[in-house]
Amino acid sequence: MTGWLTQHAAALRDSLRRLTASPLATLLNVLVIGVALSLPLGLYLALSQLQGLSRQLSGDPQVSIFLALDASSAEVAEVQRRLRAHPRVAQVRFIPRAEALDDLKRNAGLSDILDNLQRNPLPDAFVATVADNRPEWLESLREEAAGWAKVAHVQLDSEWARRLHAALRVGRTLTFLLGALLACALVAVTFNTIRLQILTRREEIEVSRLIGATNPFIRRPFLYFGAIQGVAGGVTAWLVVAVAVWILNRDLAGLAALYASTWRLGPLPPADAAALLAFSAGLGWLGAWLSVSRHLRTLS
Amino acid sequence: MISFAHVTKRYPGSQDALRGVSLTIEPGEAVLVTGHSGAGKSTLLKLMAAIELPSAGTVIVNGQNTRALKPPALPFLRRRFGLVFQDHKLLFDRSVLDNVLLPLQIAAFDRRDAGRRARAALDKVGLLGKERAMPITLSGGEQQRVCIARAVVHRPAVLLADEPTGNLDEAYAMDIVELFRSFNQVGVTLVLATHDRVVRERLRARTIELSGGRLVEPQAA
Repeated sequence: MTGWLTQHAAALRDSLRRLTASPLATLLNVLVIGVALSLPLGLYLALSQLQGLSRQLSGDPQVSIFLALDASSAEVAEVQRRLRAHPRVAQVRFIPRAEALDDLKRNAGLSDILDNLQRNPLPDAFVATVADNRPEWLESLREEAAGWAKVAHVQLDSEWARRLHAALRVGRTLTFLLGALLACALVAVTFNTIRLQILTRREEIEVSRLIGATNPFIRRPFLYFGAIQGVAGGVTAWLVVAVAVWILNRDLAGLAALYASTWRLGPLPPADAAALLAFSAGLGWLGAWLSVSRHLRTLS
Repeated sequence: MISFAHVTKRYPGSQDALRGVSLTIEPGEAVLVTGHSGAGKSTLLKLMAAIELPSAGTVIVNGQNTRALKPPALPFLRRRFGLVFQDHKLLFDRSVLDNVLLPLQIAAFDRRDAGRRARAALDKVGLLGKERAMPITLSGGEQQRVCIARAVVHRPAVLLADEPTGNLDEAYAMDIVELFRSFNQVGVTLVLATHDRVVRERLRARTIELSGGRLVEPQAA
């Protein structure tokens, strides 16, 4: 066990020595990997946070039912009864037209204008919370309620959020494809770097094999090299995204304020950051593994 | 013990390097392998160390048939040997000490123990004090001594040397032969491939002669 650890420690030292021996080449490789990773990472971060926002905005699926201005109390009560009895409706909230007008005056700052109106232009309304946000349930309720007496208009409140959700799903798929493509690029970069390393260490590999080195012994320093380079690339990607988020948030603050929101892009959560480093280390390790294995096969 | 039975070695696209060779080398024995260039001396040594595997016949090293061993087991068999090369095969980007440490790192020796053994091996070949020197700064004879120190540092049972004095003048060559003799005297099996007459006369060991890949005649020293 001690011998095994000694070999690993020696391989790690050797890899670090080689990485620092040619700082410019190392820096360029790390930058290439970091920039390649930062693209899907940035997209992932933006999409995951937009997804959270859309979930927060859409909340529970709701249908707003606006009644005709001439609807009588009995007709309003009938609509309310039907909604409460409906199997797909979980909750019903009645908004009387007077309350709606008061809300409009309070929230929109239109009290001066609204005070001059001869009569309240707003209808009575119900907001029905649907038991499930399945699109077909929402659509069926909308169609059904639209046919009831004195119902003037039915509106699916969460429709825009569902559209956003669908768009985000497309974005996620694109991010995955981009990530997979750039992961291949990372493996290729590491493969080539290690191939060049092998060329400069060909003699050492040959002598080591002659005097009893196993393939794992020969592979080990290259695997560490690839993994360390991958981790450094991951850290670079994280830094690039952090700086980009910081810059974007200045513009987002202005945009969000227009919607009376304080929403900002947050930093990469620690679990995601750890996953990024593990992923980039794994890709570097894989590139190194493929490169050394290919070389060892040719030697055999 | 090393035993060859009807061993033939054929490299792709060339004629047989060895043909039907049978021989036995006992533990602690010193053996000279002689023959002209291309006689098959280097191939014989490579077959002993399982660097090459026979095309036909069997090579038994310490009771193990090299051809029957799985590839991952071969490096462990090679560690029983110390290899000395005519061209030294030193790593010129590493110090003398680091070159000698290599077999110990491969065998996963403790770092401190490895350093102690490496210095002892360098002391044995008269190079203690040059641990930090780079091989390029050493003479041909000194480089060969580093190669010998690397070959013996892990205390192998068998020392295989392929033309170890090939590029050296006579005085250096004699020093090297004396070193080999001293290792043999403490029980290390010595197999030395050479066509150097001075070495043959000085070492006076059993001689195996090869010609055109065939064993000519085992002779007593």
